[in-house]
Amino acid sequence: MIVADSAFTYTPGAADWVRILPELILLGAALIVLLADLATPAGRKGWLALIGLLGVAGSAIAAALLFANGDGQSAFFGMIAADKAALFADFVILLSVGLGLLFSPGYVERQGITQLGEYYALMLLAALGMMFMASATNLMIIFVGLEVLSLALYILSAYIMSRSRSREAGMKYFILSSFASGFLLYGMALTYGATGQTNLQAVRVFMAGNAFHSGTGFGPLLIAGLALMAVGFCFKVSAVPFQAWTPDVYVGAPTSVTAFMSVGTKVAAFLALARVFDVALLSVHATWMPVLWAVAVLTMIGGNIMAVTQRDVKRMLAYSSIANAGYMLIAVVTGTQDALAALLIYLAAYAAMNLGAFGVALAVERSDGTGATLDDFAGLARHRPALSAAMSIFLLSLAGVPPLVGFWGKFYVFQAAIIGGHLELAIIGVLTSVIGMFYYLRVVWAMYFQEPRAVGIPAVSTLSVEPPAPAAAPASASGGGAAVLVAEPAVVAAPAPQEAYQPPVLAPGAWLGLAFAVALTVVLGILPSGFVDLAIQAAHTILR
Amino acid sequence: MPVPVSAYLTVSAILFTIGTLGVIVRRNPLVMFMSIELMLNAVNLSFMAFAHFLNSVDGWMFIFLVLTVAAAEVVVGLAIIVSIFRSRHSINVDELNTLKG
Amino acid sequence: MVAEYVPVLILMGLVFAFTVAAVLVTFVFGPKKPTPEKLAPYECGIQEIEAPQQRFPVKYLVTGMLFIIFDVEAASLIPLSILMRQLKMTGFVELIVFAVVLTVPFVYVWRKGAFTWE
Repeated sequence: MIVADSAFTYTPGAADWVRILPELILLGAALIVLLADLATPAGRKGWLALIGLLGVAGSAIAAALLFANGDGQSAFFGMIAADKAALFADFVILLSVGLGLLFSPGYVERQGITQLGEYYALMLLAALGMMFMASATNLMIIFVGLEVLSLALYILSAYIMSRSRSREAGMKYFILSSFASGFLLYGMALTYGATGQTNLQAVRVFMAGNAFHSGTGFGPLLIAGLALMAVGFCFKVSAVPFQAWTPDVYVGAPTSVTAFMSVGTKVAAFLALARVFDVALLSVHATWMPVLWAVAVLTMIGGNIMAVTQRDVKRMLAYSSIANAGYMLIAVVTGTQDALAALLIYLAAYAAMNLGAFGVALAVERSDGTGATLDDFAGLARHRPALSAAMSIFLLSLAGVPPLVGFWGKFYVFQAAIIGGHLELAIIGVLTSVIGMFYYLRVVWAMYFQEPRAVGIPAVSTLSVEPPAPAAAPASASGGGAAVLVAEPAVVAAPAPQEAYQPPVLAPGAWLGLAFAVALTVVLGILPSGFVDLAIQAAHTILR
Repeated sequence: MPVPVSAYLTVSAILFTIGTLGVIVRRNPLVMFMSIELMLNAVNLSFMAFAHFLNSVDGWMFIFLVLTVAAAEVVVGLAIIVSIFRSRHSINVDELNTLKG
Repeated sequence: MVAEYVPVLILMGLVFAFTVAAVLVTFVFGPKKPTPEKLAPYECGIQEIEAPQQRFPVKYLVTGMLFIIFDVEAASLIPLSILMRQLKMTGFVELIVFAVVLTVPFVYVWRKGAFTWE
């Protein structure tokens, strides 16, 4: 507790700035993208993605140097940790934003997105918020990081202003997510009231010192705070029964954004969840464990069962991301050091394979945002063999087939659960994975063993479902200050020719991104030991 | 007579619950949005009470952050609501039904 | 142990009862003469003279939103100004970072023409 008039015993210095160097570099890149947007003529905005990628690369290098040589201390009065867990999470977030940026050029133009400078800057800022949230060791920074990432993602979800589905996605995400933020914040307030601390390490010390019902009268306050924080976090990681927003937002948002946020938000929220529940509130493990246990079970069962009924591949992937949140919750519930290492492994594996799967969905999608149903994937292997092979690898990895990275994520999570005394969670996890196997393999089956759709008929009819965008509406009244307000007329793509469905040609960046995701999925799957070691080292630093 | 901290907390809890019910019951995004702001400010009241009671600065700092964030949410939320309104001339959430499944 | 939970239960009960009661009382006893104007979320009780068919005054909204953002950010400077002396060089660097982060978007919206009224 810092009392107002006491002198500081410690003044932050240069070392503190070095510890948040990855974040600073990303922030700088976002600002440079904004300035460069002013100087870049329309049609050459691809350069902005390149600047963003350079920023991501620089940030990743800084994170790598800190991982290898940093002292792992926290910076700015214990606000932000630069420990290995935070840096590991930074890597995964940077991977997801990097792939998101690679997928964007070409796709965004095809979807009629204008104001590309703001788009790329917001992607970087969302990643910045995620990195802050993942490395936060103070409730304040968790909240600020969460809001930075959420605000950027609200705008990005609604970014295709000419398309009603995208606007609705932004609206739903905004209302439900800020509602959840309210709960999370109230939980933080009550926890602060009960412990007198916002610093997680100080909360931990307080909790270890006073068993929480030691006559301070704050026991009930803490219980209420715990419950509210759990609700808020479960909303953010889209755990059942707080998952309702996920499929709608994931389908409505631009797919490049969906790919990025489905991974990045989870990394940030799970790191914060682990730091709050498994570190600060470890001494009341018995109190919160049953609640999160039930949420984990519901999420695994609900996510997998609802995914089975979906025919739209993007929506299926959205439910699959809910199911995956359930597996990650197992690790948080178990809460041992092994489990946290498994959580990090799972997050890294999930990043590679899920971004890849969304990347393929993005490649198959039409310019009106439709065209990623099972029917569209039928017979895809005939005319897009490389794309189908990549998709098969990602889906098999998501299903947990052994030589791929997804298997190791599940393996370590279930192993940690069994060692940590939660055999029942591991059993439920394995059983629900079998359900998962069904809907992942159904897409693979469609791609390789089904006939392509009948020539012309469905392709053309679905093309004209959505009227050519009400974008021509009140054309940008005030010279577009905020891109959100200004619906520029969409670039209506040329209608597809009257022949069998041909997916649009992929931009080189997207191919590069897909190749990178495939390489990660396969190489880390065959040789997992290196990155598993890194994750174990990283988990060790959370639980000091 | 000094007002006990529990009184502040009770008022804060009542305001928070009103905000929550507002989000759940109302169907107009603008009103839902005002309810969310009410929730955030109810939390601010709690922070204020705790900070005063515990003689700790952290609560005050938190209030600054929440205020800033709430302002940013106002801006983003209004922008999205206005853009929907401009295209549909109605912002009833029950009419937002393009996404189903 | 269980006794610890009694106050929080009582509080939750009270809060919920009060909220429900407040809604119920107005629902039961309040006079209800609904008109479309009153049901509108931003009603002031006056019937509109004509439907607002003309374009929404977005430029006013943009200016207002930008004002809110830059106005509230100033609040973040208050704690920094109090502690400026004790923070020494770090405080100065923090101030510079804050100013840069605020200035670049300002230049951006300015060059994009958000401040031109006509």
